[in-house]
Amino acid sequence: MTCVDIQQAISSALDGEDAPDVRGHLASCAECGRFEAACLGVAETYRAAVLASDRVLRKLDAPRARPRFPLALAAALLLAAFALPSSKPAPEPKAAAPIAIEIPDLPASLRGEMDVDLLAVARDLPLRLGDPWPADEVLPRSVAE
Amino acid sequence: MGHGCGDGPDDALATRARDGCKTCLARLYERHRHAVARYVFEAFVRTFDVALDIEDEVWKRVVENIGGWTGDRPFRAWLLAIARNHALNCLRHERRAPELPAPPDVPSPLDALTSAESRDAAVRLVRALPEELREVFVLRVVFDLAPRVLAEMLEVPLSTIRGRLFRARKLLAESVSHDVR
Repeated sequence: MTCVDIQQAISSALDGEDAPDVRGHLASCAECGRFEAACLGVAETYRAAVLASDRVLRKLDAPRARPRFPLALAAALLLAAFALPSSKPAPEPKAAAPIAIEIPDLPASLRGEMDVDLLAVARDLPLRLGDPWPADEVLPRSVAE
Repeated sequence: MGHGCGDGPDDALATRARDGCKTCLARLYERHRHAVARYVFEAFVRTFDVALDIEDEVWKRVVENIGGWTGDRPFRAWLLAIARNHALNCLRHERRAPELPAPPDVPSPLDALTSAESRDAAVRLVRALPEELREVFVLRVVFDLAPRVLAEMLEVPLSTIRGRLFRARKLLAESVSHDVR
């Protein structure tokens, strides 16, 4: 096997794939040893850098000039409560009555990104029911009861 | 199997989200909300704000399309495939050059792997890779997607993924050797 073959085997092994045992070659070939060390070193350092990146987290947590996705998610989830398919036929429409839609529990880190005032408005938004209602099993308890 | 609403592995949550459980959908968002922007930023775009714009749209598409989730690939791969398609579309339509600027002066990278300088150097080395190599390297190393999953996600043969990963590593190793020399 050439050094290129050996290095391809090292690369495959790093990906968890079957590869020939190259330890014997590595013991005597400085170039392939450096290749393996560099692959491991750069990958681990890069992974650590990205996952721990202050830059990413700071950006995500920084106040934003305009509402971003978490608010859109809240709105989309409200819509999804009506639009997503259910496994049961819709029950008979209930009498119109104001209800509160429950926003699923969100972690503190996510709540921190949301516009709290708007979210509170969304959570307590009174809705009148007229359309077919989703199956109870997909509804938050406070709505299903 | 034994998991309650909002609990369990990604694919189980995705299946329940597909069937209408918005708590499971919210849980998936909570778990993976950072992944989209991170992937798009590391693989395609120059600024994080652009990555965040793309992230917004991707999650909206996830909400709209979760009903089409089939479970034939891991949820994370499905999510990142949506992100990839949308990022490439954005880059095409807005004529943003996906290539990153040439890295500035790269300091000696691997003399102290735990130092912040080395982390920055590793990031610069990876960002200097050609896009098609950088993308698979990021998906493999950061998101831990197996080559087989990458091949399905990027719709290329497994041998192509193996080749890209090898070429990425070869270039990185050469860059390290060059800097250390």
